[in-house]
Parts: sequence; C-alpha cells; structure tokens
Amino acid sequence: MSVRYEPVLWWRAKWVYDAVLILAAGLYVYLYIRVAPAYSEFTRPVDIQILRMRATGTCAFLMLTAILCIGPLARLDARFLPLLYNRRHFGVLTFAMALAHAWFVLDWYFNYSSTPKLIGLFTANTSYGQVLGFPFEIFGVFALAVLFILAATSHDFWLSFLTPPVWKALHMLIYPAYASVVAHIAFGYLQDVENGAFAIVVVGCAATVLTLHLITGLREGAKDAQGAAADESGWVEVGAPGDIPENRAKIVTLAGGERVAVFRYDGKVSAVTNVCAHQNGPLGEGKIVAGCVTCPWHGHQFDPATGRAPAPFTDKIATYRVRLLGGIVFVHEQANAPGTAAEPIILTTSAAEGA
Amino acid sequence: MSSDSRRSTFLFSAISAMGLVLGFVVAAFAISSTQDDPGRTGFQGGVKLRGVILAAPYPHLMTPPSAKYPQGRAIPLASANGKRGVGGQAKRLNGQIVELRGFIVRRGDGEMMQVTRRIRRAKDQTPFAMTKPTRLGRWRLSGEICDGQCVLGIMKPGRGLAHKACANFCIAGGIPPMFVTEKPVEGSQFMLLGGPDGGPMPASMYDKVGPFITVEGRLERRGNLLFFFIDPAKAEVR
Ligand code: FES
Repeated sequence: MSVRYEPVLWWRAKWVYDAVLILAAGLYVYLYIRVAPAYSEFTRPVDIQILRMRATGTCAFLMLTAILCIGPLARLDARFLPLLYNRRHFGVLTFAMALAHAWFVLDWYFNYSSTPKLIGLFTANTSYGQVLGFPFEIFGVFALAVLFILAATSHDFWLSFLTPPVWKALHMLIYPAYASVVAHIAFGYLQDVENGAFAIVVVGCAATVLTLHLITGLREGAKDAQGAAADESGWVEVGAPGDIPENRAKIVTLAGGERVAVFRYDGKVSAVTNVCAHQNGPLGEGKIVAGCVTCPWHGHQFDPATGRAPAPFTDKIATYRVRLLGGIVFVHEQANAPGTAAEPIILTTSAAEGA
Repeated sequence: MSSDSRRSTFLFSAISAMGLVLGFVVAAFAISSTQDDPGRTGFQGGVKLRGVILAAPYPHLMTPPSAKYPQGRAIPLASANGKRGVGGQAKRLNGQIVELRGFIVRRGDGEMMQVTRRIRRAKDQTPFAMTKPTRLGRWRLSGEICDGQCVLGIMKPGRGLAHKACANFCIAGGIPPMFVTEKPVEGSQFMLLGGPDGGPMPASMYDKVGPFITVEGRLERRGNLLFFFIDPAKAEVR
C-alpha cells in the first residue's frame, strides 16, 4: 500500500486551483447578498438572514454541479484533466458552503425558541406523508451528511485505510447526495418562488450532469462492447507499434471488458492494467514521465515493465505479456499478478516507425 | 511535456478557470435578482394599547370602539421575545382590562402586536361596551395557514413551504396562526384561526401549514377582525 500522501506531480499549481474556487464561490455569495438585490425593485428588502441562506445554498448546489461535470468532461476532452486532480479540494469547499447554508437556516428558522435548534429541525415539520409540505430539510440533511463523510475521508490516508474499491464505492455516494440536493430544492424553495428563473437554473444543472454522464457512459460502453477478441491462445491484437504515440498508451478493451494500457517508451512496448492502484484513475490516459507510467489523476507512478511503483513506494499494478509478430503488437488477455515483471518488446528502429 | 502542449494546457486551464468564475458571477446576478418580492410590510414601534385581553382561540386584545375602529379593534398578540406566544398570561388575565406595550407588525389589513413587556392588569377596570360578534356563517375558503408574526413582517418573506417548519415551530410555540386568503373575504385577507370548538387550531392542522389549501369553517367578526374556526376534517391541500 502506498505511503505517498502528497502525490501531485504534474500539477503543482494546487493553490491556484484553490484560489480560483474560493474566488468564484466568494464572489458569488458577495454579489448575491450585497450587489444583486439592489437591482431588483423590491418594496421591502429580503431579510439578510434569508439572503445568506439562499446565497450559500444555491452556491453549494452550483459547486456540486460543477464537481460532477468535471469527471465526464475530462473523459470527453483530456484537456479538462487538470481540473480533476484537485477535485477533492473542490468537494471540501462545497461541504463548507453547504454547512454555512445549514447554519444560517438553523440560526433563523429554528432559532428563538425554547426548543433546541437541532431538535426543532427534526420535529417542527413531520408531514412525511405528503408531497406539498414534505419536510424537505431531510433531503438537505442527507446530502450534508454525505458531503461531510466524503470531505472527512478525502485524505489519502483514508484511501489506503479503506482500500481503493471501498473508498471509491463510498465516494459514489455523491450521486445520491446530488439527487437529494435537487429534491431538497424542488420540494422546498422551488415550491415558493413565483419567478421561474431559479427553476430553470436547477433543471439546467441537473440535465447537464445527467447528459454528460450519459454521453460518456454510452461512449465507453460502445468502446467496451467492441472489445478485441483474442485468438485461441489468448493473444489480442493491439496494432503496429507506430500506432502508439511515444511515451503514451493505446488503450485496448478485452472481451471481458477490462482495459489494458499498452505503452510505447524508450524503444520498448509494455502493457499494464488501465486501472490505477491509487484510486482507479485511467493510467492509459497518463504518460511516461522519468521512465514511469504516471497516472493523470494524482501522479502515482509505476514501472511499465514490472508494474511496481519506484522505491520507496510499494504499490503494484497488474502487467500483461506482450509480443511482436509480423510487425504487430499483441497483448495476452490473461493479466499477470500485480507487480509481476513482463518482458517488454524491444523495438528495432523500423518496427518503432510501424513500418 | 513539450513546451507547446504545456502552453496549450495552461491556456485551456486558464480559460476554464475564467469560465468558472464568470459563470458564478452571472449565476449570482441571475438567481439573486430574480427572487420574489417579499411585499410591503409595516412596523410601528413604541405602541401602548389598552383593552380587554382574551385567550381564545389565541391571545388577542379588544380595544374600546373609537372613531377609527367603530366596532373596536381586535389585535392578535404574541411575545416579542422569539417564537413564543403570550397564552399563559392571556389565560391568567382572560376578560380583564390590561395595558400592553410593544410593537405592531402589519401587512395589508393584517396586524399583530408583539408584546415587549409583561402584560399588566390595568388599575381602572371600568368595563366598556364591546360590539357583539357577528356570525357570518359557514365558508369554504382557499388560502394558506401562516404563523401570524412571520407572514406579517417579522420575516421577509415569512410564508410558504420553504418556511413551513419555522411556521409550525412558531404556531406550536403559541404564536397565533392566521389564514391568508387568496382574495379578500368580507373585506379582509387575514383572519385569525381557531378550531371548531372555539379553542386553538387543532394540532392535526400542522400538516396543512404552508401549502395552498381549501378549508371549511365558521367565520365570525369580532371587533374589526375576522375569526375563522376551521374544521380539520374539511381541509385539503390543493
Ligand atoms: S494517482 Fe490517483 S488514481 Fe492514479
């Protein structure tokens, strides 16, 4: 298991990322509360307390929408990848914004009573049996709890402690949380407003998230469906070495759906699993840096020929056997155990050019 | 990475970052400036009133008829101290002449007094003539059950489904609930609610606070205020 908790390699401008996020969110809340209301002709201003709840609540929703768009965008266009590296900071910031929203609500709607705020939150409205008047706060509570769990376990310590599959499954809770936020808005604020502008924003956001995921899902599904068939002895055709860009990989989907990243580097060809040991990042979308396959997500590195992380790290990924036959690279569909060295293809100059 | 692809990655990231910030700026304006107008409400501080305090269905004060209020002015009462009513004091002093201090919140024809000090029994208990309640018969009305103080202006806005839990909280705390009708009925859009027995609104009606409902009940005018004694069995969310 990795002991590397600070793995960003390519993208050192973490703080720029955070600064942009804080700027966007801060500007949003400031403009929402202080500037924009001056442009609406209200007979009486909306209470500052209510402006605060609305500003932080809508901001958290927009942030969550943005977070969920980054994943599919990065799959559709690799240039979005840098946005993905630091997505966890984005998530933690969103949790903070949602928490502020919850705090402002508790401090206004559930304050000034002899009943404690948190008890009031769960007891003031119990109309669970009806659509109109449903205690929509509960949807918000669920989403906030999920955001809290995800923020609290966002550090790599938890990733290795829980193991990547468990961690990943846990973090998939973000989808039910998003659905819950949409329900929270739909059963709450949207029931009250006569002006439809925010309803349009909410529907637009949810539709964007859904469409982006559908497009990427369908694309990858289609790619996987045409999984390359192996011959009787289990060898799958990859293509000419020249088809693989230097220091990059060609991703091959096997009949079973697993993906293999076949890298060309330094006059050699090696194949490893496409799935990063860190957090299932797409290794085949990364490149060779300093002789190592470097994951595009957080920069974990692996020797392409052995599947092992360079010392002092100990992560391992599965490798695949490769061979060159008639100028065509083949990969064997049977994965080797993680960390098993596999003989790379040594390319002659002409083979490297795909001649 | 080649310097060319490094530059294009940088450019792309810079554009996405600018897009994000710009998107948030536009969204802030679009969402904030299209909020609904909370409407006109009024506030009058430093009010002193004298009249008979009555506890049912909810605490209210009945003042002697005057030029401005020929039938007398009936004004619902709540505590100025948070989401609390003045039910205890009203019960203790029920039917007696009291002096009140506080402030009045107002929206349209609806008003409520927030009592700031302990309610005191007036020294002078000389009774005054109060107009008899006028029975207006059974009505089926559409509108919203609100907690009186929020809807009249303590919160802006202070009604609707997003505010429902707060309204329940207030009503349970003893703040008089009011029915806000779609269109004025007998000249008023705001009426004090009560239960079929003339007491407070039954707790089963809490589920119907907030949404737009249709409800049947007995309508009565006492002083200048309408009282709507509703039948929980005849209430439905529309
Ligand atoms: S480095 Fe995090 S998933 Fe690969």
